[in-house]
Amino acid sequence: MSQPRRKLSRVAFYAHLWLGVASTVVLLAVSVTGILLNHKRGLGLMPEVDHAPTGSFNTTVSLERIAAAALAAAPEGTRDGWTPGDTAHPALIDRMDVRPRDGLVKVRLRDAASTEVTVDINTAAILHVGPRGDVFLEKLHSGEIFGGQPFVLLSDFGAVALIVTLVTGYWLWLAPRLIRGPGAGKARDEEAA
Amino acid sequence: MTPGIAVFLIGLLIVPIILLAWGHRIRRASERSQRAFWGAIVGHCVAGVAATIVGVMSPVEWSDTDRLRGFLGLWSLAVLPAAGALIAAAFSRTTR
Repeated sequence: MSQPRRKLSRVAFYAHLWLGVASTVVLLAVSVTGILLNHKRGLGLMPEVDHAPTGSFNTTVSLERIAAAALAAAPEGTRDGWTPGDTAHPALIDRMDVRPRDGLVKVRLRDAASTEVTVDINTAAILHVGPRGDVFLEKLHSGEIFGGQPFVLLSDFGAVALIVTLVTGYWLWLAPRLIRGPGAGKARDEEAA
Repeated sequence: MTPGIAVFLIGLLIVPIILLAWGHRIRRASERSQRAFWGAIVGHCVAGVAATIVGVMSPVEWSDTDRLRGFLGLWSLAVLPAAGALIAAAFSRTTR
């Protein structure tokens, strides 16, 4: 084997070994959360509410009234001192997802379970209350759960490590075949089998 | 950064590197060192699986009172390999 190729194979071997070991748990967590996120609807992690509009779009109730209705319907632990009848507190709400075609608004609260209240856009009637498990899983998948945006570098590390181990693994498979010719690898595989 | 997160990062990234370096030419090491090494490997494998399971089983953010989840999710990756190594090393001594 030529000297540069031998050196390359040696670097590939150690990169494959060390990065593979160091990134195992990160990739395990990213893979498991990725599978769960792919099937979030089937697993009930993301509530789906079938609903048709109960009125026209120009008769919708105000966002504040929808938010207040959602907070009133939410579990008491998520309200942080807010009581029904008060003006809806924006600090308790993460986001409001308006779906005019379905005639509903999804109000996501800023609690540990990311509780989501689905509210009718025309009547402010409560259609569904439940946790949004996929929000937590997304944060775990990206690494953000451990302390915000800087921890996204954890999943970046896992991704880069996976790319490097794939490339080096391919090289480590290919290198002996390049040296011994196309038949050498096949002969060795048959011998091993 | 909280102590839990610091320990988690050590358990996640540093401990596997230490184990890999420790495993280099492990057959030439003493019997106790070999047993401690395998104890640490088992501890880290158990911790990795446990941390992943408790992380996703209840898709809700950790709270300060969630001690079991905090231990298995954050501390176990560093604590269980150390515990596994100590137990295996102690077991080695009693069998002699």
